[in-house]
Amino acid sequence: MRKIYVIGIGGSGAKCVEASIFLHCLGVYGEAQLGVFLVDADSSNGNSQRTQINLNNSIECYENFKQVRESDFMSAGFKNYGVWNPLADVVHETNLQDIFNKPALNVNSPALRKLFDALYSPQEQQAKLDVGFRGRPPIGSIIMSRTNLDDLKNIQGALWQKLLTDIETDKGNGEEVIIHLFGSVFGGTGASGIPTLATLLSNYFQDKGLRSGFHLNASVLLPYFGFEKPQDAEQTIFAETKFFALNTQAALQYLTENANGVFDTVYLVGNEAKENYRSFTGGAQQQNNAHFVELYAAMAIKNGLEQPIGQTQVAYISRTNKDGLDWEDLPESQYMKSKLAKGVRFAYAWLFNFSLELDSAKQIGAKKFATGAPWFLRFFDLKNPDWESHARAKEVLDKWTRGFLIWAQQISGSFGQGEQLFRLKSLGNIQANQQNNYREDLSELINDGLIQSAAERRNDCLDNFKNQLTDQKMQLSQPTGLVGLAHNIFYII
Amino acid sequence: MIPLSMSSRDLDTWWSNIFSPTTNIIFVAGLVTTLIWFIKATTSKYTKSSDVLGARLLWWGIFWGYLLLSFIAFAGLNYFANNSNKPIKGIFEASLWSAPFLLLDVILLFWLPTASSTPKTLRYIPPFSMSLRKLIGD
Repeated sequence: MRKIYVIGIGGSGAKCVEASIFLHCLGVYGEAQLGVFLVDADSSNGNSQRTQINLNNSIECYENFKQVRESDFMSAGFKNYGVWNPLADVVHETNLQDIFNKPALNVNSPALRKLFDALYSPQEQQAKLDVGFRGRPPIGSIIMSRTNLDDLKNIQGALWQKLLTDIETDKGNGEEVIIHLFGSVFGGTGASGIPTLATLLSNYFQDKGLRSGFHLNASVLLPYFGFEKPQDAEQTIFAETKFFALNTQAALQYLTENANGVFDTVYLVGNEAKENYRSFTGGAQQQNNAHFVELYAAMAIKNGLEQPIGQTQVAYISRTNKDGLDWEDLPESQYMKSKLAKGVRFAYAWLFNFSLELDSAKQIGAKKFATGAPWFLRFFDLKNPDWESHARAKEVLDKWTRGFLIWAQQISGSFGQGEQLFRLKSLGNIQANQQNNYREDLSELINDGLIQSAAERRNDCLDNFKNQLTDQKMQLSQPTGLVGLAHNIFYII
Repeated sequence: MIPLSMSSRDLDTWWSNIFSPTTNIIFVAGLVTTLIWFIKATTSKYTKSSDVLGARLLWWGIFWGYLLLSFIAFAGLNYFANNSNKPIKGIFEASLWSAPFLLLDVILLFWLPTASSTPKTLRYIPPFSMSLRKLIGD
């Protein structure tokens, strides 16, 4: 089995990982295990937390729905390595001055102290780092460069030990391994973390004689959003849009000069029109909507598998129309469209119809319910529907589909005023609007520009799919119960 | 054999003037009502089970309408035959005997096809259709 290790660095990196988790749930990466490792100095960062929630939901969903091997939905597993905080070893020191013990530098190495003062302003030296690197690559670089993988690997039970040991084991077992890093180069954590961690990983495996056997790729995010000065506190050191171009230029220069031989393929993804996010300096409130740039970054994993190892190359991609995003703009557009459209249609059908119907079945009784829902008979025993054993799987799938639809809705609204790829605006607040909000029509969900006839539109509805579920001989090996129902919906929709 | 006290001539008259027209009316009405139900089942879309269950009212409405129409046709023909210049002797007895069979006719002409063959989402709405379809291997 193929092993994919994704490392999300910083808030944007975590959001790319979120996209890759959803793509993996839909079977985009084929039969592979996705190992997820997040790097963030801000342990309470909203983006990382949301990714963790969606990862945990996906893992739970996989555990409940993995039995049906012929289905692409939840066809391959996950491994969660957790969130590594590069400041974890200096939790009691909250700023650069404390971390590098400036008073001691004054005494022991005045020259080094002068260099420290030259590189970092007094505000930067005193800025509290419990909210991350504040969009400043120099702060991130000095922290990240302290990292030593050999030391980290020797910490029993530590995240790095698990990750590195698993990669080495996989290589030893002859598995196909790909390590894919995600992060922005215009902020703090990603810009400092991508080159540093990639170099450390490359050197580590080079020393072990394992480097030539796996892909080490990265999706590097160029500026695609902006924001004003944070209003959540009186901050003096914070991420500022005006520095993004400078940060990007410096990071790309560094990558050009130092990344040769480190990466196999680097994907540069950005967007000219910047999405404007509300600004918070770290913390749980720093939770920005998903963006289609992150979807592109996550899709790069699949492309990276097909690229040669050991030949550093850079890939760009562009849209055909700068005013919008079409399915044709995606790499492997037909394949991606089939997977994403199926995922959205399935999540919509489940959350806004089948899930509500099962609640109703439980309420009015299986036999009475089945009189109006013939599909129910194909999957459930009327005398003993066994609600208890299905309850957990239903709860888990409800959470997953809700999280996925929220993500897809954010992706569709991430460019200008219109909707891209999907039409999900009409769902409003998905978190709040599910109850008794039955939906039926699927014809308007996918924004593909295809003109359907009135008959085609009329037939693209859940009632038709329910009748297909009832009539057709099930093609999947385990067609009973809630698990079978979900997989069969995913299969035919 | 039904033990009727009617003469064979009256029976022939009753058969041709009342029973035969009544069964013809019931047959045509059965075709029409069944067709209405099948058109409804084929063309309607339902979002949820509770909406589908609402169609039970329609099925029973059609059924009772059909039954009422059959009864009116039968009773009307009996009435006019009895009040004509040449009333048929033993007409009440014959009608009483034939009524259950006409009722069975109504049931077979509407219930059986709808219960065994209603397409799509309404397939289990006719009473006992779930058991019947299971019995015939659907």
